[in-house]
Amino acid sequence: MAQLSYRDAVARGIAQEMRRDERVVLVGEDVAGAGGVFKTTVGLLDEFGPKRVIDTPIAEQAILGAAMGAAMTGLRPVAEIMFSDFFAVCWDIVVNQIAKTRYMTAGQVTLPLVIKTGNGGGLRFGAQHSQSIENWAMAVPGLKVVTPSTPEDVVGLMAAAIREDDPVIFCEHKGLYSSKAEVPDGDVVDQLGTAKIRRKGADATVVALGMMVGRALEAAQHLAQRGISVEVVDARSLVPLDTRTILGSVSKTGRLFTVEENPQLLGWGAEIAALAADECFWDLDGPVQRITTPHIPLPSADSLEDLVMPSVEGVASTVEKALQS
Amino acid sequence: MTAVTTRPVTPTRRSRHRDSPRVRRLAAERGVELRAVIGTGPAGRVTTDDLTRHVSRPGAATPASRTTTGVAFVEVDVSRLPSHGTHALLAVVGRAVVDVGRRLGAACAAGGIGLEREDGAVVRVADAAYLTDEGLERRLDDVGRASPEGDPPRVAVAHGHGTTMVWAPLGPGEEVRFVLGVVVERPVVVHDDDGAPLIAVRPLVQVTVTHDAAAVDAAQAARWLVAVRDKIEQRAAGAHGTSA
Repeated sequence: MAQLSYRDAVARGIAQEMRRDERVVLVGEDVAGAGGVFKTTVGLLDEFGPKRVIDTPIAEQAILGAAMGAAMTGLRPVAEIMFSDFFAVCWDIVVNQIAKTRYMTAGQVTLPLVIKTGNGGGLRFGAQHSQSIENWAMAVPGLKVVTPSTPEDVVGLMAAAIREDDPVIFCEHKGLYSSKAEVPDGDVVDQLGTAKIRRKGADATVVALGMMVGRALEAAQHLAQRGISVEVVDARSLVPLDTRTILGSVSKTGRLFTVEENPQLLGWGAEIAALAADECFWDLDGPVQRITTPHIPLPSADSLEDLVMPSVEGVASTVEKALQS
Repeated sequence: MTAVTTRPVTPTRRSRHRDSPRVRRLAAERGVELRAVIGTGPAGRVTTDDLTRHVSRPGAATPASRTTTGVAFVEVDVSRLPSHGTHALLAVVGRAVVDVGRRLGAACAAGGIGLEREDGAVVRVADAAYLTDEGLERRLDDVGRASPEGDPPRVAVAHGHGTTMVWAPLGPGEEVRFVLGVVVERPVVVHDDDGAPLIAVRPLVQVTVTHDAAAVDAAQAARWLVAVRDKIEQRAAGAHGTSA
């Protein structure tokens, strides 16, 4: 068991799978020589060589086109889109090609492909480099979407994503890259479609994702001092979604909150709120509340970005007010 | 000196939906008329704690002893179900009971379910609504697995230990109990493609429902039972995997 940073966990997860399976290759801008612009692929070129760790031009469509072709012809590529915002320039290949190939070939061609990407805000990168794009990807049938919140989950979910025969969008939260935590020794393999209860509680369920998990946990700690017991669920995987864990928690506590780093309109929390209304209406003891960013691009100014992102205080006060009204 | 008139404090209700679904469900399950409960929540809302206080207050009427009424039964054709093992049938019926109960809005169906294993032990499954038939069957097969803690389930699905049809009294805390008889092959009338009647041999199971009339009335119990049968027979006819 050793302390590992979230960014090093990315490289460890990929390396673990590259050692196990020589079909796993890595492609992307600056992933080889530079070790990744966020230093998430350090050491991979040295260990696996330039045939398996490949730098590309700055052309997202080309990266994903190459990765898709490689996946169709027997490799299991990991492709990097440096900033998730740039999915916007390659949606055609993601939505119309990658997501649909298995379906349109009646299962004859699978695409074991992981698209890893730096996602999320909090680093003052401005409106075009800070977005959380899980919602965009979730809307497309054929894509799986995961966002780990801890180094251990990064390794385990990366392994699970690489072993998956369908395309997986793997969202690394840029704001968590420097965070550190214990990761077990040896191979770590997790399971897509599973949430984790990070803190047990009785009065309210808070479902969070990525960097918001830590904030929800901190808010739960504050609320505990005020006599409110909050259960924090780390959603981890949005597609597939672990409805059993989430709804089990809501059935127990009767209250549901989501903490999302995206605008409320069509956010993933809307889906979970709808699910709760469908499946455990008679367990709800109050309205579902979604804590999100406002419907604006993320600002780059420190003070403004802090203002729009869900904060520890914001989560705590929203939950407390809701339980009192 | 002015006369002081005291007015009786009558709890008033501001609107129909001020109390949460959870509170309304719990009140229905405990037979509490919400109008009679003094709410201490925001804007006079009744909280779950208020309900608990209300039912345990001194002088509160002890709930009348359970009157079990209405034993109803149906025959279910299980010819197209993949397995007729006791646990497989219990799982299919258990899933149907939970799904139909929730669809019909039976308050007791919102909680867990108690399933009687082949050896007579009762397995409590809190999350039956989220399991597949196979998942529920695995819970029954899994001898070592502990049942979740908490209130005893209000809905039970049991079997007749090899008998065809059983009238089963409700267990403690139960509001409705479904019991499966043994699978028996019988001659039944079926219709061919042209609608002409034929005699065919089909495996049938008698399913009995016993219910607490205070919680589930006779009409609701009957609707529940009939819908369970329809669901099982429809799924057997090809509607696979529909559990919602």
